[in-house]
Amino acid sequence: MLDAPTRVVVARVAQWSALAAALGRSARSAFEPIVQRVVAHAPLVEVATPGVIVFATRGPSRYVGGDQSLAALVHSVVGDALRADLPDAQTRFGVGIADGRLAAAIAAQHACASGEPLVVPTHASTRWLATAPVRALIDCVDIIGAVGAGVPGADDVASYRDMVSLLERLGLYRFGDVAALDEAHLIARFGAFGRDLSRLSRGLDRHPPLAVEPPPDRVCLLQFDGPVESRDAVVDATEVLATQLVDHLSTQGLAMVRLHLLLESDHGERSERMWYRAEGFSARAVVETLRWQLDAWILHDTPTSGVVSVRLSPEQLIAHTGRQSALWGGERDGDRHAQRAVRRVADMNGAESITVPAWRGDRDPARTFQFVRSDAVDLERRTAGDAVDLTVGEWRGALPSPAPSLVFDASRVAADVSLTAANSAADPVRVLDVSGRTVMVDARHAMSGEPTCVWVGDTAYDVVAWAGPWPLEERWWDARRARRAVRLQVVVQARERQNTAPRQNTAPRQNTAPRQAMVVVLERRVWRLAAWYA
Amino acid sequence: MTTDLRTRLGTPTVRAPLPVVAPLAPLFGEAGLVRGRTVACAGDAALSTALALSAAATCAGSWLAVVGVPNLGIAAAIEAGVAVERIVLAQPPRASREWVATVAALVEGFEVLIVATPTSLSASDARRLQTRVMARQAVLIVVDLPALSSVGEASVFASDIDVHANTVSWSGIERGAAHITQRTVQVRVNGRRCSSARERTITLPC
Repeated sequence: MLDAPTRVVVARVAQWSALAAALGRSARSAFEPIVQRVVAHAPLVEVATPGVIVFATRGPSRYVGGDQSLAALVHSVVGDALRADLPDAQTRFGVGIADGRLAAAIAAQHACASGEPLVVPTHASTRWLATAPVRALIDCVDIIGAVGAGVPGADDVASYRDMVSLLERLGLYRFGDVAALDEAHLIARFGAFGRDLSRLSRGLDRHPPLAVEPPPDRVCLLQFDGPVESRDAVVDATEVLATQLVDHLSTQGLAMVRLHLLLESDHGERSERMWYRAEGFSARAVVETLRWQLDAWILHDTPTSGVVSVRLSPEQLIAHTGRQSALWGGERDGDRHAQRAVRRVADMNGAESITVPAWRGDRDPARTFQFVRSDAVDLERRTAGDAVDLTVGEWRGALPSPAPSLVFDASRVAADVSLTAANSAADPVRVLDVSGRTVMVDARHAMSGEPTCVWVGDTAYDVVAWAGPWPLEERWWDARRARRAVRLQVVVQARERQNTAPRQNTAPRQNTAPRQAMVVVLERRVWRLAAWYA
Repeated sequence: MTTDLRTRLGTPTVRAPLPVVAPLAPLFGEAGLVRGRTVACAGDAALSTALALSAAATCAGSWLAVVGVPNLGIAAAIEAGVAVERIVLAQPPRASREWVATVAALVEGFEVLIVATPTSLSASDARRLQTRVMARQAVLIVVDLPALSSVGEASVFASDIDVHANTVSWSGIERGAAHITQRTVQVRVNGRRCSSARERTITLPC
């Protein structure tokens, strides 16, 4: 078997997830119409992740008459699909053809910038790739997968970024620099990462072809007794099969990176698709892809009867390097149960309704963490490092500890809505001084008066103590996104109802209401509730 | 007759209670958080106390689902000692039936749930959910959050344990200076599954 890279087409839409989120649609379902249109021309496309389509040029290219015309065709098809489905969105997309996924992915990225499809001539990919920056690995993580088994999965982009920055610090800026090094040295220094990197930078596919011919019979066929109408039943049955298949392969030290999935209905309708997972398919990943394919099939082709068979055929196998289990005990039953419950709820209410926090860092307490859709993370192998960046200590300008338990997003930067969609915006409040005027803060951060009363909704609170004003100046260099605000931490006590009625010269009675604390933010002359210590 | 039934059913498998952080532990006795119970948290420090209450369990490997609190301050949860890699936030539909169906699905996989009830939740749906919690040996912590208008009363649940957490004092903050450094909270625990009411003053985050 020749160790030559496959020539592939990569079509990618820039920042697809953010775009889909901004339109209020799930990244998968919004991408499906585009996939459907491409499938009309090239039946076996791989969808690595929403926003990226990859397929081998071999058949289609010959059919349409060369790589140039294939690239032009895919470019126009994707462009038409985007214009048809998302008419108002400003999207950039690119189509690239080259030998090997990495070169094609980088070509697609160039095409994204130029707006024209880019075809790297056959056998010139290595030379072309040599001039590309290693930094491109970060952007191509969803297409080629995170390089090196030591860096598990594409979800661990942060540690991956560290690796790339380490390469740069070592003076290896371009793939050519890396290719010039001896593979043995790279492996000695970086382990599995070095091996993958060496292969990639020499223009080869990431996984070496298997030296041993795999035993032929690995196709799994699941046939139902009668047509199955329920999506969940198909998924559940396939999960068992997929688990067996993955286990069977792993006992032989193999993992599949490319999977051909064929569904057939009782009336002979078929849905087939190729799927790719650079890090190898887990049973979970098989089920996820099946679910996606089923959804797409039901939505677009509306099969007229239930599913009678599901066929899983592993198309490309790699030597399974094994996965390092978590430091303490590895996967636990509890993790698996939680994962399953989350999946169920995601099926019931949509994956965006169930999220996990991920640290992002910000002064604003509501934006320190973003909420990541649960289907985007692997809960079974989640560690504290995935949720919090433990290396960062105090964030400058963040609220001092103790942190408030309820936070409201007081900044309204439209572009970032998708990130904090789970956090509702802050409500306006009134902060009054002793004479009943709204407290204002001037350019020198001096308050117009001491805050004595805060109105939240129709409840009046007397201010017992306050701290601040703490100025907050962000991105003053960028007129569009600049933010100027002040924060005030206040300890308040709900005013007793009978006292709200105007009564002259009565001795203040002892207020027994609990003292509560909150943070209010003044921005553009409006006070908002930013946090509540509930 | 009773013994007959009991032998036929076999001894129920009672799983060990969930651990509770040291400052709160005396309030719950040596047992900790007994599984299958519904805990109602009220008072102005309800949410912080609920987080503190679930912290030790998450560190011991249990998963925590926070349902219907879209504005949860994750930093506060971390300060309370919750293992952040095992928090999941769910925003189920607010209709009573769907809400209960969602939380019931979560109970299957999560050992601790902090929930803010939607205003529409009916008592019968709440009861059904509690039965599920009992069957699955989870702990349901219902918080009262008057600060959020979308959150209904915790009293729709027939709680086994009532926790009242009220702030006694805020230290560190003055009139125009410094900032809050510590919060002293009085926590009172009683309820139908408590042998006697217990009370204790703690500092948050503990």
